[in-house]
Amino acid sequence: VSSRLPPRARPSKWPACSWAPITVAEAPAHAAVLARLCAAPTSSIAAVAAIALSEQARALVTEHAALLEWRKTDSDLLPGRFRSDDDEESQSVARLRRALAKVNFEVAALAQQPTRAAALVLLLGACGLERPEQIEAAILLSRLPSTLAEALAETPTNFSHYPINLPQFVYEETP
Amino acid sequence: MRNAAPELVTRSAHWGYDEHRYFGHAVFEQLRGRESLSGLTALSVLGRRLSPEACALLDEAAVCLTLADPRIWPLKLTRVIASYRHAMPAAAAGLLIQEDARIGPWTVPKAAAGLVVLKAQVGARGDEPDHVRQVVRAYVAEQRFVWGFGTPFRKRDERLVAFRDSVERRGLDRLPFFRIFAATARALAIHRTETAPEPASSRHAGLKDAGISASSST
Repeated sequence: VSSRLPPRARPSKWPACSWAPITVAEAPAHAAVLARLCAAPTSSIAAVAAIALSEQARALVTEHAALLEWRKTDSDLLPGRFRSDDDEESQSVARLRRALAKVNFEVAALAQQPTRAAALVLLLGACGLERPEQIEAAILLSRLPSTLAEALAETPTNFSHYPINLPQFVYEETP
Repeated sequence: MRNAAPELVTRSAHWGYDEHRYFGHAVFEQLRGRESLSGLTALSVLGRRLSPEACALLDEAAVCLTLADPRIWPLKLTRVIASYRHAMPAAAAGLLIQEDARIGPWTVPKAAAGLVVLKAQVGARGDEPDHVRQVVRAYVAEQRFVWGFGTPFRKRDERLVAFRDSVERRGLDRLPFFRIFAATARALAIHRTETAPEPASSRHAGLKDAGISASSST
């Protein structure tokens, strides 16, 4: 993704591992599961997963464009919109910081209560992936295995077990 | 020694200066104002123009299949991907899963292939109801899964009810493929009470009788 080997001082596996988890409640995994349900061939399931992950990564990077700009400035103060006071997110970021401490790597901004997504974008940046396209590609590649795993865990044509009314769509006609 | 540059043949299109060619037709002179969107679609797939009557049947088949409820699996797939605000990747993903899937348009050529086999087995005795029934029942009995027959969660497919009316109104129900389709539906109703025909089979039967081939009907 960066066209060069990561320096020894930077962790190479943590960014990928941190982005990897995905649930069926997220669009890429959900779309891949739907492809599997329709008994699409594996090549199509993988393609659907890749398309959806690319879109998710693009949306994530777009949402964090200001964060990437901030990284280029001299400011030490993390912009407020990328901070979170959510307990679950704080615990997740704290776990990430502890894991990084074990390999003697520190990303200073992680101490400023970033959202989980912002923390992971900052981590990729600290690992040398600074351009939007590099970050998008890293997120896509990190999440592809778990997305495929989620899809392949489903049984083809298992339509009767799919919650078709979740979420609840409300049909409206244009007056 | 230099190899001769390879020549690639295309029958689809040629970009000219004042006029373009499309499957052997002058686009502005012969197609403009004379060909409909469905006719142009048929020309793209078949490589030949369809009669206005066949195009009208195509239009009616398309209308009967207009069912884009976002709860339905392939459509839900496009919907969740489109939630990232880009329509084309979602549409591409929706199309991707159609190939070889157990639901959707890819079932049409498989259903068509079954009808073609049945028509060959019936042979010249298509006017003998007992013979047709016998052939169809034997075919159904040996198939584990008869493509085009298997509407989930309901006893009859409302799209088929509507399209059957379209076919009957045109008198196409008396043509060979639709008759074989109807006989297969009856035989399946006897053998497997849970299996109702779905539009893939009837659509193909109607279109085949209208001159559209199995592989083109997807």
